[in-house]
Amino acid sequence: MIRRHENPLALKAAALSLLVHVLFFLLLFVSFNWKSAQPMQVAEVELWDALPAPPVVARPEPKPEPPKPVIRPKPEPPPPPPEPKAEIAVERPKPKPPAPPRVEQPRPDPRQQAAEEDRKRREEQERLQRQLAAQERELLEERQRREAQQLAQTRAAQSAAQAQGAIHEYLGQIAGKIRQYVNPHVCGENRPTLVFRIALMPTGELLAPPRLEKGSDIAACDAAVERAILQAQPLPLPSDPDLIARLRDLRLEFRPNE
Amino acid sequence: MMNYQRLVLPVALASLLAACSAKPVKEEPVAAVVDRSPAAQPAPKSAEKAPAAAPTTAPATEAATKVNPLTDPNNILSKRSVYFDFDRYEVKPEYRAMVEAHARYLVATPAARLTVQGHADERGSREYNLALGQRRAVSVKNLMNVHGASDNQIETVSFGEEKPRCTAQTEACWAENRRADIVYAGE
Amino acid sequence: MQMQKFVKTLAAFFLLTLAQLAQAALTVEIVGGAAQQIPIAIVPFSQPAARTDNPAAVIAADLQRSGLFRILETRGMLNQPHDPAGVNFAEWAALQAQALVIGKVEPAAGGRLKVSFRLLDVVKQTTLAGLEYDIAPIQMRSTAHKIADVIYEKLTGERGVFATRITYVSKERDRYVLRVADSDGANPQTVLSSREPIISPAWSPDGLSLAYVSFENKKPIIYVQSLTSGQRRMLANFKGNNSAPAWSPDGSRLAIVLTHGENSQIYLINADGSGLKRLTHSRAIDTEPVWSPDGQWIYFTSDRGSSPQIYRVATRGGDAQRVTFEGSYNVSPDLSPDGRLLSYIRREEGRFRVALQDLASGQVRILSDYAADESPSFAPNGRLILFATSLAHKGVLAAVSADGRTQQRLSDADGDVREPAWGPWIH
Repeated sequence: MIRRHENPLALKAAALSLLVHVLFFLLLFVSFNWKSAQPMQVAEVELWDALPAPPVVARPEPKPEPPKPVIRPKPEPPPPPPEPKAEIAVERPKPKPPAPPRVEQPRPDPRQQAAEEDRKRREEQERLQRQLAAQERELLEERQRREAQQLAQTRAAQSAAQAQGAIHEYLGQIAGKIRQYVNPHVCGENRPTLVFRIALMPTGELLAPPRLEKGSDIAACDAAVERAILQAQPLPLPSDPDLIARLRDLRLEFRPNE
Repeated sequence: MMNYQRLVLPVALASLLAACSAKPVKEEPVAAVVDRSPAAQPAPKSAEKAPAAAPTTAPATEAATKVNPLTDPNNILSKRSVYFDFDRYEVKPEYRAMVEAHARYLVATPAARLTVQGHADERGSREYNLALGQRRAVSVKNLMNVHGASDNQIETVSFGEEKPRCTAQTEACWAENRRADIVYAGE
Repeated sequence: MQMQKFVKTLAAFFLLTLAQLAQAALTVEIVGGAAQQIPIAIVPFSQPAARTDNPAAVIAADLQRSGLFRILETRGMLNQPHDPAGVNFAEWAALQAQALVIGKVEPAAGGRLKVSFRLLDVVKQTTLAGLEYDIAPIQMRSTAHKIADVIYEKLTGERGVFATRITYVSKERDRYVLRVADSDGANPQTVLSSREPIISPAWSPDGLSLAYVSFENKKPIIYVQSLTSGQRRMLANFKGNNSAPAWSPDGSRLAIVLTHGENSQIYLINADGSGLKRLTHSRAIDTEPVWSPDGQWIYFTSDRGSSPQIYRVATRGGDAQRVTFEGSYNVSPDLSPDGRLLSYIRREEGRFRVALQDLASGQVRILSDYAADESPSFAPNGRLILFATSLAHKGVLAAVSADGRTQQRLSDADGDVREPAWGPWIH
C-alpha cells in the first residue's frame, strides 16, 4: 500500500510504475492488428449448416396504392379532395402528408367560382401529385437504405458465422488431439473435472507450461492430464491470423471419467 | 479311555484260536459280533489309522461260514451311500428305508459304531462344500436318531469335495459325489 | 490520500480488465480419454558382464502385467542411457514415451551389488524418482519388484503390489503341495507337501506365518506354520471338522469353523489355541469367516436363509445381518483392505464368477468372464483380486482389477492350482 515515504517522489514513481505495468498488460492482452481488415462483428449468432435465406425485406405495402388516389380524383371532380388525403394518411404511416388546404368554394359568382374552383382543383391536384411523387421518392430511398443496411448486416453475420464455425471446428480438433493422450485410468473412480489454461504460439506449440486452474484430488491424474496436453503438441491451428488470435489463449476443461 | 489298542493283538490271536477250535459255535451271528466288539471299541480315528490287519481277520473268517449282513449284497445294510441333490442335504425318500435299517442295526448291536462321511461335488467353494458334506452327514445321523440310534454310536465327518469318487466334469459324476457314506468301524 | 485513491482505482480498473480479458478465453471441453495405458520405456540396466538376468526385464513384466502400462520397445534405440546426463529427451518423445526408466547395477564390497535407477518424465523433462539399493545378489528379483512398485506408485498414484507374495495349493499327481511365491507366481517355495488334501491357507498379518487345514490325519485339522523356521503346531483339533482359519487384523486371534459333530459354526480362538468362544448360533451352515480391517466385524457364508449368502456378525457377538441380496448362491467373501468393498463368488446360470459389491451402495458388479471361480483374495492395495479358476480341466490362478478393466493370468504352475491367498505388505 502507499505510505508516506521520506522520498517525496516515491508516490509519483509508484504511480508511473503502475501505469506502465497497466499499459504493458493491456498491450499483452490486446494484440496489435497490423492488418486494416474489417473488424469482426461478434454478434450472437446461431451456427447454421447452410446460409439463412435472405431476410424478407418488409416492403412498404402502400406502394401499388398511391397511383389510385391520383387517378381517381381526375375523372371525378365532385369527390372532395379530403378523400385521397385520408387514403394517403392511412397507408403511409411514416411520411405524414401535409394536410392539403381546404378548398372552399366561393359562393358569390357561380361561373367565376366554377372557373376558380377548377383552377384551384387543378393546382391542388398538381400539388398533391408532386407531394406523392416526393413521398414515393423518399419511400424508395428509404427502402433502398434499409435493404442496403440489411445486406450489410447479413454479410457481416455470414462472415462472423463462418469465423465462428471455423473456430468451433478448430476447438474440436484441439480437443480431439489432446483427448487421444488423456488416460482416464489414473483418475480414480469419481468424476473429477480439471481445468488448465494454456497459451499457444502460432505454430501450435505451448508458450509456457500449462497452468493448472482446477485440479482433481489425485496428483497422478493432474500429472497425467498435463502430460497429455504437452504430448499433443503441436496443436492444430488455422493459418488466418484473426482466427489464431481468438485461439491463442485457451481454457481446457477435462472430464476424464465421463 | 483305556488304551484298547493294546488288547487288539492278544484278542486277535485268541480269536484265531477260537476259529480253529470251535467252528460250529462260529455259526451264531451273535457270537461273531461279540468277538469283534473289543477290537471295535477304540475310537474310529485310531481304528482307521491302525493297520487294522488283526481286527479284520475275525470277520473274514466269519464270512467264510456265515453271511455278514453288513456286506451281504442281498441285505439293505450293504447299501452304504445316500445321494443328495445339488446344494441340498435332506435325505430323499428313496434312501430313508436304508438309513432306517442301519439305525435299527445300531440299536440291535449296541457295540456297533459307524461314521457317516459327507461329500460334495466339486462346484463352488471348498470350505462351503466341506460344510455341506458335514450337513449331509448330520442329516443322515439325525434320521438315525429318529429311529432310536444314539449319538455315541455315530460319528460324522466331512471330506467336502476333496475325496471324489470320480473327477469328470459331468452331471453324472457330480451326482455321484453328492453323497454321504456309512462306514462301520473296522471297515 | 489522493494518491492512495488514485492507485486503488487504477488497481481496481486493472483487475477488472484482467478479469474481463480472462473470461474472454475460449473453452475447450475434453470429455473422456482415449489413452488406455501409460507409454513407458525401460532401458536395460547396465550391469557387470557376468550377470545375465537384467532387472529391467522383471520391471517391464510387472508393469505390463498390471495392464496400466504400455512397454515401449527400446532395443532399436541407438542411445541406451544409464545416467540422466545421457538422456536425449527428444529421442524418447519421438517414441511417444511419457516416462523413461534407466538404471545401473554395480558391484559393491563383499560380493554385494548396488542397484540404482531413475524414473524420468519425458514430456516435462524432469526426474520423477530415483533410488539406490545395497543388496545381496540373491535379492535382485525382489529389488526389481520394489523398483516396479516405486514406478507404479509415482505414475498411477496407487501403491504397487509387485513386491508382495502369494500362497496357493498345488495338486501334482498324488501329492498336495502348499506353496508361497512372488506375486507374479515366480520363485515358488514349498511349505508343506502331503498325500492328503490341504485347503484354506491364510496369511498372518505380519506375513510370517500361514494357518492352513490339512487332512493328513484323515479329518480336517488346523495347523499354524512359521514361514521363517518351518516349525508348525496344531491350532485346532476338536471333534468333527476344524477348518477355515482367518487371522484377526492384529494377529492375536483367529476365526475358525468347528462342527463338534453337528453343523459348521464359527468360533473365535486365541492365536495360541486357548480361549475358544462360539460366535454364531444357527442350525444352518456358517462358514468362511473373514475379518473387517477394523476388527469389528466378521463376514461369513451362511445358508440360514435357505440359500448360501454373505452375512456379518459383530466380533463381540450378537445377531447376524445379511449382506448379499442378489442371486441365489453367494459364497467365499473377502474384504478390501479399506473395508469398503466385498468380493465373493456368485453362482449364476451354473457359472461361478467373482463378484464385487460396494458395501455402502449395495451395487454389485461381476468382474470375471470365467465359469469356475473360487477363493477371491484382495491384494493389499485393494486394487487387484486374486482367484483360482479352471481352464481345460486344470486349476489356474488369475487376477482381476477391482474396476474390472484388467485381467491377467499368473504364470502357469505345473500342477492343478487352487486356494490362493494374497500376502500382506512386506516391510
